[in-house]
Amino acid sequence: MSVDHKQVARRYLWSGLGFLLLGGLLALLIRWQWAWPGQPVPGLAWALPESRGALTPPTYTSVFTMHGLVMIFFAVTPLLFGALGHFVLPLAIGARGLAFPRLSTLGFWVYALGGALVLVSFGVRLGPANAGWTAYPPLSTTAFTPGLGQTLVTVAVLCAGVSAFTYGLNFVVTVARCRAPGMTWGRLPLTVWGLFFASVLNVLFVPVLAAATVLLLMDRLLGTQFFIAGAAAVGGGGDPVVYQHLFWLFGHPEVYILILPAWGMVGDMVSFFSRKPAHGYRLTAGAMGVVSALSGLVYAHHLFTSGMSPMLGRTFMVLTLLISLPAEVMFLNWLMTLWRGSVRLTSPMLAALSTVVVFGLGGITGLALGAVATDVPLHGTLWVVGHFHLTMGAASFLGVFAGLYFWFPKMFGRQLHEGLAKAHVVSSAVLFLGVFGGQLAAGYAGQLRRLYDPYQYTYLKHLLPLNQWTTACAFLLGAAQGLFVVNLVWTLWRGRVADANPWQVGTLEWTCAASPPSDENFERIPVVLRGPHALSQPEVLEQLGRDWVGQAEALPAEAPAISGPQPLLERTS
Amino acid sequence: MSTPAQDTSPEVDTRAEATRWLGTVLGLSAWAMFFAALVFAVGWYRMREAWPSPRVPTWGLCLTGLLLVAGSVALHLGSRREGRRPLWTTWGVWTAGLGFLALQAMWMHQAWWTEYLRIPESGVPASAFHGLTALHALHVLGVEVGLFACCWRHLRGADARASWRTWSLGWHFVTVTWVFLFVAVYLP
Repeated sequence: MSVDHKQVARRYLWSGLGFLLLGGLLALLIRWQWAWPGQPVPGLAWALPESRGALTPPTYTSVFTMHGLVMIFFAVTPLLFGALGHFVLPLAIGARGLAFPRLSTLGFWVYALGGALVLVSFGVRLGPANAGWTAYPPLSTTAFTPGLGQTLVTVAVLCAGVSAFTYGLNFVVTVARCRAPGMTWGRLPLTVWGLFFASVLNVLFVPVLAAATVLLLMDRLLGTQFFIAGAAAVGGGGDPVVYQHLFWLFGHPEVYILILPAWGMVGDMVSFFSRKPAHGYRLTAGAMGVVSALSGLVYAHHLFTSGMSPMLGRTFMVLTLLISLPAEVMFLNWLMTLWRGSVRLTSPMLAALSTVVVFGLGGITGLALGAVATDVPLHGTLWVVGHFHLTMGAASFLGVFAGLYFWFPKMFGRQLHEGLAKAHVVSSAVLFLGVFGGQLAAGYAGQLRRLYDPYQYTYLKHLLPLNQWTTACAFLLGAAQGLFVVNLVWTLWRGRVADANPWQVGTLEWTCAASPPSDENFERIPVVLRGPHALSQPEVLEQLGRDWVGQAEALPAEAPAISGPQPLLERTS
Repeated sequence: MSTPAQDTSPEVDTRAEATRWLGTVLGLSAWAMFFAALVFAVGWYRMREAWPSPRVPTWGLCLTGLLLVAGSVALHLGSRREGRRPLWTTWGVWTAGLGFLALQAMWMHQAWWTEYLRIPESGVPASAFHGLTALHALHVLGVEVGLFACCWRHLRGADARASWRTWSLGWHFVTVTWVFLFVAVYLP
């Protein structure tokens, strides 16, 4: 079994895409229910024969629970870190591999075990988990969700957590210890910065999720009383709110775990495809660091309505709103990079710009949830769903595809069809806005989250046309993914061989490694001479006749001076 | 510009070991968040209502934990005195670990059968006592397995120094987390 980071990345890629498909199909079922509540879903009678294909209330709760769990723990996170992170990070810093290759392989197999448990849970009696993706007790305890499926999925989440911990640790140590000579911290691509900070959050906060999950499992399996309350409690009972605190202590950083790598990619791609150095490189990297630091201090804004002290509510509100400041710094830097740049609207660039737009909208709509006064009326509504789908769903999804379209030629040595890729990105971005914009509007109008049939309430009946319109957007969004599938299959089958450096950028993976890279990544370890965004520099144009120069490429007039850390060429296991 | 690969030099070995060491330190430090989260949960319950005694002697639990503290001290001193041959210290510490596990099992047994501190009848305090003690013991068991493997490799003539340093760190980790456990759960 290969422990090569590129092989591990491919394994994560295929399994992550598979779970993305599963999660997407589950999302379409939810949308169907909101547009045509209780009506049979065409083609689903084989799975739900008793209702002739219609979603029943228990099935509906299982579907939205599994959609959230699958998308977050088994699709988007593994695609960003498992696939793109594993593939890009060692190449971008000039390393021969990850610091702990066997650990990364182990992490994948633990993730695969979790994925298998998720799939198995669909086949057990009483179905898979159905306590919501957050698995709040007491709903997720055996008192209310007695089926084996909830237990299997809880173990699966634990597996995904262990996997995330292993690659988070691996990435942090790899960046700290395995950079090529000359690759100082100030020369790291922003993608690496994003992965690094997100990995720090992973190793710090995934253990908290593990603690919450282990306590929940003990309640389910061993009869402990940590989260059991009310009539089901014995001997005084526990407190479900503790779980909520632990879960969100992990859950809010998880938002940034999902978006920081995408932010890093956006920062790089905006620079690469504006043919300009990244404006405020250090500020952007620093802002990502500040966001990471603050992300652990804002979690309780998810609990404003849980009965917490108003004093605490105010404190968390201020901290939550503060986090928008470093985010603004990043956005302004991206805009300044675009300003008067020679912008090339390639597919990765379009995906990166779409990420900026959808995350920007998600961020702005999140301000209403960060402030106590506006969160209280909006908290239980679809506004929250629209907001977090824009930030965690659409932005991360488009970030994944920005990365995938950019590094695909490096991963497979073949070039995806650019026209299909652009059509996929633009249609997805527009339709994301349609779907989640519709959810925001419905939420603002008061539609509550998780309702099986919202129209049982008279005041929500008039939202049916809006929900049907949103559902149409969702189905079109699903269909638009066919563009990617066709492009992927065609390219892998008989796509054209990629150029050595199709995007004409200077980072190490494009200038020092073959496409696809060899087992050792580089024939010789590069010595880095400059940052990742040396674009459109007059001396380079003059001496090389092009607007880019490799990070390890010496100009004819440049002395071969080497600075930075001493060579580190080993791989450990 | 590029430099050739030098994957087999002694310098590279040293750096590889330093990388492993850093990974271990970071990994264990981060995993301390697991216990911090558990302590947070117990702290929440303790703020809510009076926390009863675990119904087994606090001094007994304290003495049990002292085995871990003593093991930490021995490993630290052993690393300084024995230099390249920490074998006998390690066997001693490994035995102390077994003693710790046996005593913890004994206290849990006494709490359950003699003092009737049972799950679920005794509520959250019993859940915390039995559950968190078992979770910590699982970590100690993992370190015990590691130390045994380390001694076994040494007996078979392999160089186990790096492994020994790693598992010593694991032992210090379970010692520190036991202090968390003692303060959060065992003290009334």
